[in-house]
Amino acid sequence: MSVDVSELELVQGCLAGKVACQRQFVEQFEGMIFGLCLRMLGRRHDAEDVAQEVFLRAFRNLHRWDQERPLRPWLLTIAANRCRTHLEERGRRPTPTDLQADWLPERRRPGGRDDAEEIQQALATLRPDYQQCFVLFYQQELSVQEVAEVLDCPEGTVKTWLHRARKEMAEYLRKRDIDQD
Amino acid sequence: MTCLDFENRVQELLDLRQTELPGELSAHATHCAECHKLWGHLQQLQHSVAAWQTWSPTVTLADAVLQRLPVDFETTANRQIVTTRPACSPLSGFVVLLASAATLLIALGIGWRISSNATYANRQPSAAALAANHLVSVTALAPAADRQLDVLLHGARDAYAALASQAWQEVSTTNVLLPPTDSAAPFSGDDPAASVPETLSRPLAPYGRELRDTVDSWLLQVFQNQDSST
Repeated sequence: MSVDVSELELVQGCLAGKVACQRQFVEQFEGMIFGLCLRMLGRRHDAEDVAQEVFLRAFRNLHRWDQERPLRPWLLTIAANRCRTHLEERGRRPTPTDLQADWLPERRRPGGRDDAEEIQQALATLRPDYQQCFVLFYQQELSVQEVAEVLDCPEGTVKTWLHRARKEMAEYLRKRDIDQD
Repeated sequence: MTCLDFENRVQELLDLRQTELPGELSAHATHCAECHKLWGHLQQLQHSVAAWQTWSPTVTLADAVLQRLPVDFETTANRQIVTTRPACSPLSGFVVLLASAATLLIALGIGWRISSNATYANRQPSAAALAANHLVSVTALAPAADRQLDVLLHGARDAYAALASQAWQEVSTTNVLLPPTDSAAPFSGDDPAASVPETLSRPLAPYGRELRDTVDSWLLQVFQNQDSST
């Protein structure tokens, strides 16, 4: 993966304190970061908070970014870590059930099934590291090698997590089909 | 091909984002109901994921982030100022090194003292030293009669026994490998001199020659004194 020259200029502009560059930086990556956070956390409000934190951390540590490496995986690493931390904190707090997957209502069809909703619900049943693998591989469309770099773990581990995630989710969907039939 | 092989190879295909089964796998799925079902579930998952991954939520974070950014940077800057250490003088490194060395020496000294006290905590005045002093004082009498010679010999035997006992205590203290049966003092009794053996037992063997040489030299000195006095 090669570094985009425009990304490099954008980062240099951000480090120089140019507001226009900072705005462009956020706008360029907010879809990717927010998408990851939303799918990982399942709640729009939480995802927005965490995505903002991700950008603030990114700006704070932008001078540490290795310019020889692409920016996207670096940002995804920060986002994945923040999501994992948020999920761990959430695990220690009581979960309000009425807020589950509050980003999906507009896509629900009365009496019907929505594939995205099914996947999101199945995803919520997985372990956080399986979730991260699955989201990075499918939603961010990273390769196994890139997922391993983002999560800072061996490729073999990513493959194992991905296989288990697929199998558990397929099993979840199968059970849902049986229940609905 | 086993069902486990099938599952592993299907997973590898999905890792490479391939959705078509090659001939061999397809043939296995045709004949194996379980694997056929598994492949069906995974295909359904792939289909559902396709709808899930293409949906992109709209959000505008730039305003919120930029609004928090100056405050965040200011906080960071303040934190950096607070945590910034004063510049070190050229001698500070040397002083730190010196202090570390002094601390290390003091610690070693304390450790050695504690170790020394622990090893010899119950150490009493050396019986051998007392016996030797007794021998010297007796020798200084410059005996002139047989009775006095008997007294001197008795003193020498006491000294021999005391030295042996002292050596035994030191061996017992330092040699942790001694079996429990050997830990009893071999020269205990009312008259230690009466139980001095002709040959020393195994733990004392390394000391035997030294003990005998020492006592022999004292005895020689006693006899020489006796000869000179008579």
